[in-house]
Amino acid sequence: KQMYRNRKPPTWASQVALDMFDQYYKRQFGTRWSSIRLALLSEPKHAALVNNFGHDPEAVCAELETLGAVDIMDGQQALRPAWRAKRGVRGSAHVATVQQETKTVEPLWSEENVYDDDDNVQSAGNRESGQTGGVSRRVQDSAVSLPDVATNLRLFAMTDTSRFPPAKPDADGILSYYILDAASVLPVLALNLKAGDIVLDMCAGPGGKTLAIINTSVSLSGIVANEPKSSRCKRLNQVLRLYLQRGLSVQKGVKVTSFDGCRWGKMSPNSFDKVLVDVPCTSDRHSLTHDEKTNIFHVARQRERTEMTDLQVKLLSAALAAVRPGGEVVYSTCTMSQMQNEGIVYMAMEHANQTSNILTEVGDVSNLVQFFQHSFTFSEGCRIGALVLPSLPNNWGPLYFCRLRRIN
Amino acid sequence: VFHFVTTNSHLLASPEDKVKGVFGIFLYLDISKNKVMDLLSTCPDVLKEQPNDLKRKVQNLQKYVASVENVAKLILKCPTVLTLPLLKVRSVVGVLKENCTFKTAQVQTILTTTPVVLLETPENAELLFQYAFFAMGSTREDMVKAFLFRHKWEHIRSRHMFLERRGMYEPPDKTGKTKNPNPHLRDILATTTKDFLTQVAFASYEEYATFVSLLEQEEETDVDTSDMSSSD
Ligand SMILES: C[S@@+](CC[C@H](N)C(=O)[O-])C[C@H]1O[C@@H](n2cnc3c(N)ncnc32)[C@H](O)[C@@H]1O
Repeated sequence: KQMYRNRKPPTWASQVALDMFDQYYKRQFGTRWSSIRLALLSEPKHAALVNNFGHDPEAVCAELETLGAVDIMDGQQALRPAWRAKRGVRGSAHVATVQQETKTVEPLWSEENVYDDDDNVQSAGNRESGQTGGVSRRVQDSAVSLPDVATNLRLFAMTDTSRFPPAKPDADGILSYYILDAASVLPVLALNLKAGDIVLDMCAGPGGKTLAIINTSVSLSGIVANEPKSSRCKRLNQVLRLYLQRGLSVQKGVKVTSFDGCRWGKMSPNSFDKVLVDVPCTSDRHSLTHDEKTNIFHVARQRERTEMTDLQVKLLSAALAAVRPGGEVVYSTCTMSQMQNEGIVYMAMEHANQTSNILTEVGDVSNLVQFFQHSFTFSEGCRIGALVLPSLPNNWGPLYFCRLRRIN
Repeated sequence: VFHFVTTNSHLLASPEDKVKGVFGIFLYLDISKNKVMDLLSTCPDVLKEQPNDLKRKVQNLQKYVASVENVAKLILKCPTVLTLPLLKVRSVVGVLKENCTFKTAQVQTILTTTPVVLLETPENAELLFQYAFFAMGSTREDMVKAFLFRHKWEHIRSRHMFLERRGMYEPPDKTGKTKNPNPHLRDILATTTKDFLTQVAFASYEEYATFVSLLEQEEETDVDTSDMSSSD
């Protein structure tokens, strides 16, 4: 009988994934894992990337705002709900923060409150809103500067579970916005794009981040979107066609290629100002929800899974070779696995150094983390790069990104 | 009495012997006059019943809950029961006994502690039981203690699924067993949101509020699709 319905009965592969996560991530995140698990198993939020090359992007923004959406670049005020939630990350999830809905908006964010930068101690006069958990990475808003590069992204504030309707073709017949996970723009912003840059998007299919790159406020000299898998490449071409008017991708210098990413280092060394390496990974969210065959935890994909870390190292090393000295590479995944995140970054830096004498340094992304602290829940356990943790009020990610700068 | 009569002036319209008859039944149940007046002002429809019908209903209830005291308890908790047709009461009790196979003593406790179950449709009562039994693996004993039938299905489901997705409620296997004990049904259902969050789920209010509204949305989309398929 279908009288009661829980979430879709787990498939074998997704159950395997969940059991593994329960073991592995509980160790990594401790009591916080429950909240992440809940978010991963629930409907994710999605954001609308406004297509700046549409007929009337301003009207589109206005329309999205009438739905209640806010601009992610906008004073982060708007992203806070009236009954402010605690945003702390540090091991605080098990300490419940029950707050009456009726509680008036507390002055927690006002100027006169000074926070200990890396501690949960707060100034007096704020006790009742202090909560028991850590409130992390809190700095005065005024200290956070706007990133140089802007993205045109609209999203619903935390705890708001509204959804965007699917985009429709505008007067020019092209789609006015692209729906994606808001965290996906972080690696793109981390690229530090500058006018005139030539960019390689090494694992581009289906093209969400490619679109985000094209749609930043910076005018680039060229973008190579690479995707070896033919079905994915087809989708990438289709996305570009649906979102850019005919001729525009040529004018913008957008080129689609279909090589194995590992070959770019040899094929065109020292050629790009920026490289984005959005590698294939054991995507946490998909692993828990996807059907058998497309699930990376399916037995039939065992080999692919074990070879995955190897591929990730190769792709990132190739990117370090393809970027010009002084240029920057952003590595990103949609898993919280430390092995596939920081682990791969260290290994690839080592690998590039050993095999090609390439020296790299890890870039600082704390400005982005600070600027977007109200839109995303960042993990505190990340030594290099940054990790967006899913949490129900802000159900984005997981998304890891790390910026590397090539020295020589 | 003056206050009671002035605020319930419709009483004056009822024939005297009818009022007497009704009061006679409450006398039989040993319910004090003050309480009877309270009861009649919260549920004036009782006076629309014929005394003979009421007598039969009370006798019927007495059969289920064993004693006159229990009937009185039940009626004071939920006077509306007296306005229900006999058949309705019988069908709900029938579902509890036969479909849900509660023992007689359990039915008795359910009816005295949770008489609102009689207001439910039999189908809905069974749905609550099925959810607790199959999806949650609860025993009948747990359900009685948790006043299961006092809660809305949405409440039960969101509390349960919230815990399950947090990894704090192990789904039962086919035989209803789990490796580790789950939190008590009573602590999950019969608690305020605050106590539930601080003592059972260890979660923040924002998380739970967002979760509940997400579940509602899922529900709506379900309804939408079923609407569409029926119009097809
Ligand atoms: C995480 S997805 C990229 C998502 C995309 N950047 C976006 O935002 O829409 C990883 C992609 O890498 C591709 N891929 C797999 N093996 C590859 C390889 N050897 N070289 C380059 N890309 C590869 C996969 O087909 C997949 O489309």
